[in-house]
Amino acid sequence: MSNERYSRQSFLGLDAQDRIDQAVIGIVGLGGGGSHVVQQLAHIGFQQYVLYDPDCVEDSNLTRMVGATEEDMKVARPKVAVAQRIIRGLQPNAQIELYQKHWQEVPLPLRRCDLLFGCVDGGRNRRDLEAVARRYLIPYIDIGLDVHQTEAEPPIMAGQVVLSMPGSLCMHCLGVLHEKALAEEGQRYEDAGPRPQVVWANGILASTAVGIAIDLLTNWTGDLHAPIYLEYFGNQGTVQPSPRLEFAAKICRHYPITEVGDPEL
Amino acid sequence: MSRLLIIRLAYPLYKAVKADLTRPHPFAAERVGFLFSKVGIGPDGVILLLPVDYLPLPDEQYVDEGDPLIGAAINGAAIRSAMQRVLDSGMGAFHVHMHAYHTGCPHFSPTDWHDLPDIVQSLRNADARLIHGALLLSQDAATGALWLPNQDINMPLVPQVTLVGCPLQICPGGRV
Repeated sequence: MSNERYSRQSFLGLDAQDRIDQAVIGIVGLGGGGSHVVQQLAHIGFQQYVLYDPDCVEDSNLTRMVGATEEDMKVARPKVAVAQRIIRGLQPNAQIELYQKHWQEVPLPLRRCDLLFGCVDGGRNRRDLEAVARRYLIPYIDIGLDVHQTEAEPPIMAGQVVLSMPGSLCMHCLGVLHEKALAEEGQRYEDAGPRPQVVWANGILASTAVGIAIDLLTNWTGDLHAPIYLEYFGNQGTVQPSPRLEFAAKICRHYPITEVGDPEL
Repeated sequence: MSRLLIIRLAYPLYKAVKADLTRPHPFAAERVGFLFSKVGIGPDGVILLLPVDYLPLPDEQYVDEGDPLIGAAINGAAIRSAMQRVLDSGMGAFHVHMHAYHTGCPHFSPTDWHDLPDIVQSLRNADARLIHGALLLSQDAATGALWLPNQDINMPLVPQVTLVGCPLQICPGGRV
């Protein structure tokens, strides 16, 4: 790969591009958030991907899934294929594993990832992804967006970016996940309607997540610390550290560092 | 993307190991310890080794051999304590030491390569079904050597070693 291509990001460090080359990146969910993540990682120069999404492009995706076209919708192209096309357009020699399935159906490839992005809907899905990441000692970056609609007030758009690092506080500790909401989600699973999503908010969250990943891999700021919990307030257009960080426990009791690996081995 | 062996060491344990290995010893130039690892199976035969426990060695288990080429020599009691931990835990063991003045991915010395097979053979005597090996730390990175069960003692494998924390340090595997 030409040095010229990456000259504008050379400030990341002398060996930054090698570190980016070496990293195997898992991305679960390639819709509104994940498509931004894939696109940015391909521009940055990542060469190894493990991608999951069971869905095909639908009309409602075209408002926010970057890289997807009307033609993709017409032929019901799998989202993993769109992601592959984006990567190949920038990194023709990249190694890409595609799984047009729920990650739970083919979980093994996740384990070899060096870093995992979760761009999924619902607390239960992100809870399970974090659990896998903890068990196999993989840093996990989660993004999520929601729009709360009330009758009296304008809608409230809010989201989060979390870096969940093995040995550090998890999303339960940080209050991103809590049992009551998970239980309620389980009860309404069958009739869960479409979640409001918009491209600009997804872009902000995905860009923030990619920035964390690059700092994690290159240490270019020399000042990254886990956990990271950033809250996005779409109505105000701000991203800021969650005040919950200040009041969270100091040690994660949900994922002891000894509870790793395959239970049967 | 096919990587046969990956060691992932999380920062809390990594920092504890570094803190122990950088303690001065009355006469040894460096310190030694043993890590004990759980195992995960990945796709296409990938084996993940995930250390969860560390055995530091007390001062009296070091031997002064008067050889400037040897940073630390340990006695039989040290090896037996590591073997006992293997037996008790059912986990494979890694001999671990540190080249404290180096940065970047370190390299085992000729002395290391000479001595490690004997240590690994002792660990195999405790449980030959497990994966044993060695881990070498620098100031900010690490490398490893592993012996799968039934593998020729003179043919170690070099795994990828990932230090899991901020920053995420991925040290590629390769050939000896």
